[in-house]
Amino acid sequence: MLHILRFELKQLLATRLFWWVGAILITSISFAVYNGKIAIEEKLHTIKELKEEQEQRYSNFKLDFDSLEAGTKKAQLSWFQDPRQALTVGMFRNSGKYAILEPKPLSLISTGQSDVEIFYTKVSYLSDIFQANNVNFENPFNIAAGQFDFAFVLIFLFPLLIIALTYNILSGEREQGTLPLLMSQPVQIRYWLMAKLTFRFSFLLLAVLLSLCLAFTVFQVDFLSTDFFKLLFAIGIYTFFWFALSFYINLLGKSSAMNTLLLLASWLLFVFLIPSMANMLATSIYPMPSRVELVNAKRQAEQDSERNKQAILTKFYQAHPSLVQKSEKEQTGQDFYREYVTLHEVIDEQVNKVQQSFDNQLEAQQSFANNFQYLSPAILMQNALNEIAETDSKYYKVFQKNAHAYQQNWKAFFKPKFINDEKITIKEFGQIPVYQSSISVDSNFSIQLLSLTLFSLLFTVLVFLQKSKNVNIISA
Amino acid sequence: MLNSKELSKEYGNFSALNSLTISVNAGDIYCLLGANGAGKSTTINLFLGFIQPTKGTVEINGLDVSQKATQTKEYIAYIPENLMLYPNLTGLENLAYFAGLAKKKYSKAQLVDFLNEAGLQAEAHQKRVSQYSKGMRQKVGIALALAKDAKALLLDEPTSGLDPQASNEFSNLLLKLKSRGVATLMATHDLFRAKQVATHIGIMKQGSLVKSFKADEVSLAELEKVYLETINT
Repeated sequence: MLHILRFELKQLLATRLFWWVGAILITSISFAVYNGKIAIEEKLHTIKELKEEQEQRYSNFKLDFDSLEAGTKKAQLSWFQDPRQALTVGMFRNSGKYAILEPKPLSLISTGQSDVEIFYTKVSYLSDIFQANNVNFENPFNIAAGQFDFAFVLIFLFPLLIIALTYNILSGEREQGTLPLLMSQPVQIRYWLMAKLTFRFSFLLLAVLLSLCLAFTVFQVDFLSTDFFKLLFAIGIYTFFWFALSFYINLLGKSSAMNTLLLLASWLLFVFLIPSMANMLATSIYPMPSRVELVNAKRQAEQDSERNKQAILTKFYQAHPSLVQKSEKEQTGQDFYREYVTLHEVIDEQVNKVQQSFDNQLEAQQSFANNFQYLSPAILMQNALNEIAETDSKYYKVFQKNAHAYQQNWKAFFKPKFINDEKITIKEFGQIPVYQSSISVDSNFSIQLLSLTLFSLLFTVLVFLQKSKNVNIISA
Repeated sequence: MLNSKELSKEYGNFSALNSLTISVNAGDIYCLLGANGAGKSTTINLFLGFIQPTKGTVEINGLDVSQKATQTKEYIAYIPENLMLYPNLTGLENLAYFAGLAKKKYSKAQLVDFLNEAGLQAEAHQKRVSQYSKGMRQKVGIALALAKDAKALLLDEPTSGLDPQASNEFSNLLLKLKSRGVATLMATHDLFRAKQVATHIGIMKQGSLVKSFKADEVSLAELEKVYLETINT
C-alpha cells in the first residue's frame, strides 16, 4: 500500500491537474471564508451600533429620570418625554430594546437563511417586530444566485474536483495502455484502485482542511471549538461519499468519457435536480401563502375594531372599574394611548390568527421539502453545515419565538403601569426586561451525518457487489 | 512451469481456443505461430488470468491460474505487443513501481543494474518514458522480468514493429533469460525470430494447435513451408 501511495504522489506531482486542483481549492476556500467573514463582520458591526444606540437611549432616560427625581429638569420635558412614564420608556418611538441573534464565529461557513431572515428586532409595546422592522434586506440578486460561502465550495465545487481527480483512475490505465502490465503484477486491481483512491481522498481532504485552517487563521476566525470538529467530520463523510461513488463507477469498467458522464450526471442529480424537485413539489403541494391576504386581514381587523370601537372600550372599562371613559376633549395623552393600546390588542388578536395560518403553511412547505434531504447527500450536507453555522431556518424561527416571548414580557411589565396611570420607580427602571439571547434548538446533525454515512456505505456495498458479479469486467 | 490442459475458451458460439494442451518447462522457449485470430493471444491471456477458460486448466508453477490468479503472477513477467509505461515517470521509476507492485524491494543501484542488463542505455534511465521508443520500453519490460526474478515469461508479439537491430537485441535477451532457466511462451508472427530463439514451436489455426515440434527439428525454410501449408489448408 505504502509503495502505491508513494508512486501515486510522484505521479500526481508530475501532473498539472494536481496543482490546479490544489490551487482552486485554496483560492476558493479562502475567498469563501473571506466573504463569510465580511458578512459576519457587517452583522457584528450592526449589532455593536444597535447596542451602543440602545445604551445611549436608556442612559439618557436614566439621566432624565434622575434629574426629574431631583427636581432639576422638570421644566424642559413634556409628559411624553418623561422616563417615569411607562408610555415613554415602554411604547413610544424612542422606547424599546433589541432582541438580537448573534452570529457564531463559524456562522461564516454557511449563509443558510441568514441573508433572508432578520437577525435583530427592536421590541417595544406596540412594535410589529418581524414585519415593520425588516430593514435588513439583502440584494435579491445575491439571494437568487446564492452566496459564495464555504458551503457552496464544499457542496457544489468540491465534488467536481473529486470527479476531476478520480474519473479515469482505472479507465485511464486502460486507455494509455498500462493496464495489461499492471494486471500482470501480483496485486489485486481492486486493492490497487483502493490505494490510489485512498491517496487522492487523503490529499483532497487534507487540502480542504489545511485551506480552511489557513483561511480561518489569516482572517482571524475563532474556529477551535467542538463545532469545528463536527465540521471536519461532516467534510470527511461528504468527501467519502463522492469517493465511494467514484470507486463504484471506476469499477464498472467503462471508458473515461462514460465515467465522466456518469459522475457528472450523479453530481447534477444530487446537487441540482433533487433539491430543485424538492422545492418545486413543496411549492406546488403547499403553495406559498399570500402576503396580500395577510395585509388585507390586518386592514380588515383595523376596520372592524374601528367599527366596534365603542363596544371594545366599554368592555375594557367594565373590566377596569377604577377608570372612567372620558370624551375626546377631556382625554389626556395617557387616556388616549390607553384606549389606543386596548384597540390595538384586539386587532393583534385577529391578525395573529391569520399570521398563524400563514406560518403553519410555510412550516408545512419547509417540512415537506426537508424530507427530500434523505434523497440527496448535497442537501444533507447543506443542512448539516447550516446546523453547525446555526443559520438554519429553525434557528430564526426560535429567535422569532423568543423575541415574541420577550415582547410579551415587555407588555406584562409595562401594561399595569399605563393602564393604572402609575409612574415607574427608579428600582423598576432598572428591572425593564432584557432579551435573553440563548437559542435552544433540537439538532438534526447526527441524523444528517448518519444519513450521509449510509449514502457512502450504499456505494461501498455496491463496490463489493460489483466484485462478485463481474470479476473480469476490468480486462474485458 | 507453464502448463495448459484441454484448455478452451468460447465466446458464445465462437470457439477462440479449442482444447489446448501445452507444457513449457524451465529453460524452454515455446513459440506459438499462427494467423491473426488463431488463438495465440487468447492463450497468453488465459495464462495471465485476464480471461477465464470455458474448459480446461492453466497452471503456472503448479498453481491453477483460475484459483490463485494473484499468486501465479509472482512467477511471471509479461510483455505485450506494445508495452506501455507511465509516460510522466522515468524508466527507472517505472521499473521501481512495477517491481514494488511485485513485492520486490531494490536499491536504486540494483534497479540500474537490471536496466543495464536489459540493454537500456544509461542516459535513458532518468529520462521520462514519453521520450522512449518501443524497443526501449520493451527493455524496461525485460528489466522488470529480471527484477521480478520471473520463472516464466509471457510474450505477445513482442518484436512486432521493432527494427531489426532492436528485434535482434530482444532475441538475445530472451536467450539470456532462457539460459537462466526462464520458461517462455511467446505468441509471434515472426518465423525468423521464432526459429532463432525457440526450443519448441506450435502452429495454431482457428483456436487449435495443429502442429507442434522442436525448433531444431526444422530449418527456417522448412518452418516457413510448414507454416504456410498449415494456415492455407
